[in-house]
Amino acid sequence: MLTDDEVRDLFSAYHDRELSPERTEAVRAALDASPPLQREYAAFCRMLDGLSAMAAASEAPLPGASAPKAADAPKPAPPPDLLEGVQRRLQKRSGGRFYADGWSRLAGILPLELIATLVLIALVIAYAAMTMVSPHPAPAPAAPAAAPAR
Amino acid sequence: MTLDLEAERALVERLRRRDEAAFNLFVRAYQARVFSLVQRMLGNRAEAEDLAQEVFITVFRSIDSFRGDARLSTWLYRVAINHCKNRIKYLDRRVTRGHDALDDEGGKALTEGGPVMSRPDRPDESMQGVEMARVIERALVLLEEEHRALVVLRDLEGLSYEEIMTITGLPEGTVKSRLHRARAALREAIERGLGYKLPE
Repeated sequence: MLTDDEVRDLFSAYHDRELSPERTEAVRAALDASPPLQREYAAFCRMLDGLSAMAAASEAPLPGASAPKAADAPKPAPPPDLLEGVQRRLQKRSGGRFYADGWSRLAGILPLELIATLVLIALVIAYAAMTMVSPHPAPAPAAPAAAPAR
Repeated sequence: MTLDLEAERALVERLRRRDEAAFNLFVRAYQARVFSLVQRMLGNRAEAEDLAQEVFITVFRSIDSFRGDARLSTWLYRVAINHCKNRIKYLDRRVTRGHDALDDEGGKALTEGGPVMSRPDRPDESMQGVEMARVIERALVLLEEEHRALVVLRDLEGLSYEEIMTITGLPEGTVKSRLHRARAALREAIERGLGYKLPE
């Protein structure tokens, strides 16, 4: 037979149906045998309902037997830039060497279309720069006429 | 968004190869759960935003040490809880130092009177909705960190005892008895803050 204190320590697990069948039966027997303990357990259950409802509450009055479970409560929303913040820190602390594919870091910052356009523009500029140089070599300075042989 | 076991294994493999797209997917998949846990543990949004990022960075950097004995999400929770405990200790030390420096009446009120919580004029009307959610959040941060973690994991995040055992490293019996004490302590903290007993 469990003592009252032992039963109190098992209230949570009993409420959550986390006890073995033997332990569950022992707690049930102890509660049946002790009306004060029964009242204590009933108050404990109402408290948990109240806590769950408090966690889940948006409009619902408290406490309530039909309270929604706390796990269904709306959770605090993460900031929209959490991922960007993580990537910024990773990038800074690793000096840009964290990921296996370094190019993907740039791709995360700029759209691929923009990167492709920039590369194309760079190629065009490079080509233009090369063709601006005259294709014909500049004529060599005229050599002084050789003095006629006398 | 929750990944099934197979998808989770594939994701871990990609994370180990330091595939950036996989890291992005991982953060998107778990950011809501991590942020919710951290926010509820710390009770401070700015701190939670900072710490949630640190949790993911720790996971990224130590993914090679993930052995796969538990679910990735459980391991992630463990990392998050450890981060939270460290941050709570750090913040407590900072607050204590701050209080030591206060010698005016306001300082005395803070240190002697305990946390200040608004007391409703009409408890029966005020015990509702968003305000009560705030009351429980304030009461949560008054719990010692171990109790806070258990209540958050079980009652707010809805994890199983088995998951909590894995996360905290505590044996089953200890989780059960401490959770019970934690719930009782939370109730006391709520009642202390409200200034009246919760209806039974």
